[in-house]
Amino acid sequence: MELREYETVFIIAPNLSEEETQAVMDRYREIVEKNGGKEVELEVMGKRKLAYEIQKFTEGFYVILRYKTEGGTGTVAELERRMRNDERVIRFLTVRLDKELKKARKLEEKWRKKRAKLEEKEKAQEEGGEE
Amino acid sequence: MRDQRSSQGRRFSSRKKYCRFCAEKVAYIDYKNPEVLSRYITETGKILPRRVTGTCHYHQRLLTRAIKRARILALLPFTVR
Repeated sequence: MELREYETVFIIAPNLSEEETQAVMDRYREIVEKNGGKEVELEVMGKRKLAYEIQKFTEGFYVILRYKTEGGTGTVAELERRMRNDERVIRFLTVRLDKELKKARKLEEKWRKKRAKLEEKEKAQEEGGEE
Repeated sequence: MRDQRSSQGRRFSSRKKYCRFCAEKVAYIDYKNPEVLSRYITETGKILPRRVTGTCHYHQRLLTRAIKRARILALLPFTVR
């Protein structure tokens, strides 16, 4: 089975200490790795203001978790289940990236080809004008 | 010549609208970037229609999806007041 690429952004409650926040991040990284997640990457977006209140909080600590996993192994389900039951995580969103990125790459390729064609045409015109 | 033609049919506007994402060759619109997305919502938080911003159909679809995701993550508001 082909690997699927996912990205889970989650918000940690702002009232936790630095160590506690770090512990939450480490914990979820571990959960993904233990449940079939490969090439797990963690990116910290940091503390920022929320556009609206969530559980009375006005700011939150944003973290991005990127990973790949085989379909049907329940990696995402397990991760989301844990987050739902964890009051330190006030919000999360998982997005499947591989399909979207594939489309984006296709579009870029199209643009690249178009550009190359255009340049070729210009070149041909220039040569024609010299005569 | 082309400018003349486009101005004839337009009663008010002076400049032709174009898709910013196409012009800048954006193939993927990231929902984690509220600075860009916020340019395409009203002060009350609504998504601006294509006819206002000039975004092409394809990019409007990407944009809408990105804005909706950003709202879930409280990067953008659902409504303001």
